[in-house]
Amino acid sequence: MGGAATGGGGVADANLNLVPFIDLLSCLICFLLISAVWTQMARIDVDQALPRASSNPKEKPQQDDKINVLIAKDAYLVNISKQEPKRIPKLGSFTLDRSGANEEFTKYDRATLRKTIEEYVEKIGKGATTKVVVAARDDTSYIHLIGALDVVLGVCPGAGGKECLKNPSVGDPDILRAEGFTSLE
Amino acid sequence: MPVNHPGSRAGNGVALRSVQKAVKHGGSGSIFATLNLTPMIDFFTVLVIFLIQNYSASGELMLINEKVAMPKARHAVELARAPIVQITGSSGPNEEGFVLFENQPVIGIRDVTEAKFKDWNITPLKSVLEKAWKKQQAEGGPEKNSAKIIIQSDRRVPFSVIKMVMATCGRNNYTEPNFAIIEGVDDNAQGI
Repeated sequence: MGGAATGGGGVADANLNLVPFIDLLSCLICFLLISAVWTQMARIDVDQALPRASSNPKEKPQQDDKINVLIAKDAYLVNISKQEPKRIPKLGSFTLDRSGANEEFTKYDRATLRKTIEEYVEKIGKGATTKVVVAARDDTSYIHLIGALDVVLGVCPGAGGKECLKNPSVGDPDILRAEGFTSLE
Repeated sequence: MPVNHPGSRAGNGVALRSVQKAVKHGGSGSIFATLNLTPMIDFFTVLVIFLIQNYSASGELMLINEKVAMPKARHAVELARAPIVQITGSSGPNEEGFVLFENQPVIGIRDVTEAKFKDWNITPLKSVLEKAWKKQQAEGGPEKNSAKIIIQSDRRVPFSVIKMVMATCGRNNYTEPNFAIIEGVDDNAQGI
């Protein structure tokens, strides 16, 4: 600009040396690629509903408007306190790979479980503050517990679908026996 | 046959016709082609922005044990630093799964039974949790009274082990269990 304005003999366009810039970008890309974590880990917050989980067990207030989910051997059993549990049968099985070997798991009907929980949440009318208890039999694999918790946490009844259920309780079938789960199969 | 002066030759190794032409016939054009760097810099910049956006430091909070195949879930929150109890699976009939605390083996999962620990308080785990709690109290800071504990378990581990580990944690000040998962969907997700 200065050259053009004063009519000097210098070149008006300055050359920008791109080499350091390219070097910097290359180094940055290498660093980011090397240090990137490709496996995204996260956490699911839960409450404990285990009868022997506390050294000082407190008397918990009876909550009649909670949803109970039991992961049985071949079905989900769902109810609102003391009502007859609804049975959601399994769909079949699916396999997952582990170091070249296949592991077979029961395929539960998560879509129906979600619809059922949504119906019950609407029936109870407490929106995102509705309490859900998820219980499992002793032989239930951890993957199925996480699957059921994932379904519960995906139900978003509050604030036009923006507030979702939080902190489901995890317990064993003993806590559900008084809730109408006379048969755990 | 007259002997001609050989003149300049580009040689067989030179593939560029323009170079051969310039060398053979003494063309006036420059033999150096300019490389347009603008698209390359654009590409690099976009790549850097993408990598920075996807950069996550939470993976460094926890190492994935090779014997722990974690389940996947979609509705989870970001991982926070807390003591970690790992439960490994058995990849064969002769291999036993273990309960580990901060990567140190504590007890085999075959020994984690209600028959052995009637009050669901796994004694070896209890002692390491007590030590960890004392250390946490001594170190102070914002996490001094944090009751959070991460349970990182293999997907095949039965609930009988999970519940006893949870109960032991709950009895030893760690009353807020977090289940570690991998973000994603598995084959049973059905688009949920």
